Amino acid sequence: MNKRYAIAVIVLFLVVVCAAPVCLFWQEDAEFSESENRYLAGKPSFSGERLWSGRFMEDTEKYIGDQFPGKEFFLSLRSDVLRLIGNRQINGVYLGEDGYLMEQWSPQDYDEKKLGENTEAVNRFAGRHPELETSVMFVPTAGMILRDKLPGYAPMFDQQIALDYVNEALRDVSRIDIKPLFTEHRAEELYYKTDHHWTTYGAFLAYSAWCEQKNLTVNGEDYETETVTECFQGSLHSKVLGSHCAMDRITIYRRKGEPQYRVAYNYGKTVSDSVYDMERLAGKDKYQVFLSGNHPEITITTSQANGKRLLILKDSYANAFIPFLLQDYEAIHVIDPRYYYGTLDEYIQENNINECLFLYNIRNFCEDNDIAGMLG
Amino acid sequence: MVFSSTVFLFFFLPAVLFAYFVVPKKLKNCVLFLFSLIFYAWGEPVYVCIMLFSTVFDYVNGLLISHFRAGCRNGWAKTVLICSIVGNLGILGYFKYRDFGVETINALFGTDIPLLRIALPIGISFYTFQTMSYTIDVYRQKVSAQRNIIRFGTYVTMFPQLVAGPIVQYRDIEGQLVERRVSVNGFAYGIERFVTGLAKKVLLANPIGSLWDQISSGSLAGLSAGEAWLGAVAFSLQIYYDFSGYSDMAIGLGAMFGFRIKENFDHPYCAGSITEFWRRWHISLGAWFREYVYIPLGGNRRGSGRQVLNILVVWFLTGFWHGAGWNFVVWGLYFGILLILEKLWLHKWLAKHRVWSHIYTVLLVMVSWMIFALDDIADVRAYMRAMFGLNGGGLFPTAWIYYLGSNAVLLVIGVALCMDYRRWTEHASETEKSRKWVPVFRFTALAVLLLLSVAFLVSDTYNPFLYFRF
Repeated sequence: MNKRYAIAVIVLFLVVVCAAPVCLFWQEDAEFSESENRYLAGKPSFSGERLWSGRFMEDTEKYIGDQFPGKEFFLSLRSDVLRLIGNRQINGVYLGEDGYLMEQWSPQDYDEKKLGENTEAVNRFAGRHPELETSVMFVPTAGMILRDKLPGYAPMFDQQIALDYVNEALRDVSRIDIKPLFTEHRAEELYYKTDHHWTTYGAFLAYSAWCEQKNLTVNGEDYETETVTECFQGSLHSKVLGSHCAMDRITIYRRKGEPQYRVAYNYGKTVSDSVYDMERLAGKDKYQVFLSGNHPEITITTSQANGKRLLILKDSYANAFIPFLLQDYEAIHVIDPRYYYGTLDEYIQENNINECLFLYNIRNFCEDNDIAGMLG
Repeated sequence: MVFSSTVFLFFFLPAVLFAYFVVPKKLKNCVLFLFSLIFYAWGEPVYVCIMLFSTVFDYVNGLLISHFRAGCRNGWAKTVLICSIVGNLGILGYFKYRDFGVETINALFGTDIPLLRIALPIGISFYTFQTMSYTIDVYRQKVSAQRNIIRFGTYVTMFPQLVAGPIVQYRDIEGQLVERRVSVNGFAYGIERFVTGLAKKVLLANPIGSLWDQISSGSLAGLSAGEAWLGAVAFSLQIYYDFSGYSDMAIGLGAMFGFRIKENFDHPYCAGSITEFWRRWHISLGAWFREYVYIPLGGNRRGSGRQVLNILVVWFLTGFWHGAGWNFVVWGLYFGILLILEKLWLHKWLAKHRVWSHIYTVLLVMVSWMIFALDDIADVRAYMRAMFGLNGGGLFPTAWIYYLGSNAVLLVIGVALCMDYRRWTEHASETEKSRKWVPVFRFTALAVLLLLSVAFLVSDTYNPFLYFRF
């Protein structure tokens, strides 16, 4: 080993290991991470008790992990390297054909017992409320409809098993099966490439299936479409990162001659005159343009005085779907069981609800921990 | 704390290096001792007391043994030695094996003795073995007792090898505890070894390990033979790069502080027999058992019947040392039996058939890792059935095609780096050109490895939250 080489190696190493603590010391801590969609850990607090219990060390590790200088650069670098060497799955997301990212759903992660509990809860709810016209809509994920875009032979849970299960087990509710329609239109953009949600077009197809069920008419020509952004990189991109990800476009549909309406979030804490929140397009999770993201409770009242009052129990898939319902209802009540802590039966009575829709992505419904408790 | 963490690499390491090189020579052991305690206490603030107790206990035992030996009171010396061995094995037994023993008794006799469910103190299997080697060697008068407790503490707690070895015997390091120096070349060599080890761990072992996790996390009964073999390859590579990477980091860190820690791995997957494999895999553990169990039991000097028994005892213990579970015992005895077969009959055949001997070794080692990795015997059986096509899974195109395609490059790199290339590199003559370009190439490679390792290391803490914040 010649001396110049040795010194170069030492300098390189010391600069690298000292750079991170120095940067961490000088940089200002970030409070929130847009790409991770969560608050980041702050500086750990010290006390004898926290030291002895090991909490201090845990907090320090979290702090360093969260605030590590140049973290996004390193994450992207790793993702690019993995992709370069042919890896087709990064952080639980498959890198599919045509830039489609699709969440991995391993067969062993399918929990039929949980799904059974959730389905039974819906049955009990429907049995208790015969006065409501209750329907369910379960949306398959991209991994099912766009199966051929997955890497060849990639293990993926067959969602038909879950769909068949709920079809079999549900009683007293009408089922809106959108799978045939989605399969027929699979060549079109039903899902975002970088986000786990469906596109507005996907939601529109679902709406047409809904209309068929409800004997309503719908015509694509009744809508004006507007592309509100062309640089959306959603939740799956957040998981994968890397410079190889595609950009998605978000389109919104406005019906010609839309009724007047008013959106009240969380029992009227905030009020808006639009179901779209354009400010969200400036953030990372642009899907929040629909109804400003998820809320415990939303009430939309329209000028359609037809006496039809709908309650939607849902996950975030419904956010892109709800705008299509505006001209069909006098009031649309939206409850997200993940964040709602009120009593549902009282809510139904107070608001004179006469129709109810469960709208879930099938995977969310399989794994949901809140709905059974809330439905009672 | 582990080496492959941001806290270690970017905070602990610069701090200990700085402290070590600014203090005067007299205090260097003090600095190492203190930082080793911090290193250990970081993950185990309470268990550091056990390690300190173990240190003081065997420090005193060493002194007493040497005192009695000097006074020719060998009976007393022996008593203290036995006390030391019982103490060390007692600590190890209580923390590592008690629950396993209770579970076994409960299962056998239908009793309901409660389990302790205590977490295993990190590195306890390593440091108890190290301190035992010390008191035994003092008793055998191979080394003299260490009177300076800081020096002794530095040996027991030395953070480079504390968590996962190599098992450093006291006599190998006795002189270095008193007198050692770090040259520029030695320090750079330490960095090279450390970075290589880190890269093995985070660039190879972790990604290949995630392949093994995916394959083994599903229903084992439903695996196809293709998946099962791919899983076995993946785990074999993962455990090799994980463990040998850790040893490289230990040796490298040791070198940065002037210690020469012995090699622990020597291209084990190139071995032509199981006997050779174990001379190349975890060398320090094999050496320990050979020196402190096999030879005292009589080794091969008391006839082949006794030798067979000795081998079985040693390999029962080796297996059991790796973990408190029946699968580890089976795993150890599996090797014990293979070693006996080789010693008695197979060695001649293996020596004659070079190619077949390598295939034989690799296949048997891969099978052994499956016994090692799946800690439920029923799982091991299900996995074996899948590997040998007994569950009807067959070789039909299933997920293994995806796994293979997605990980091909990683696996090829992993296999290629198991090979021993010294035959070619050693005899390459140095030319004017190579003198100039080899360091440039090495430096670039090292820088790239370091950069990528940091990228992979940082990503381990990445934890995006998919849903709404509330």
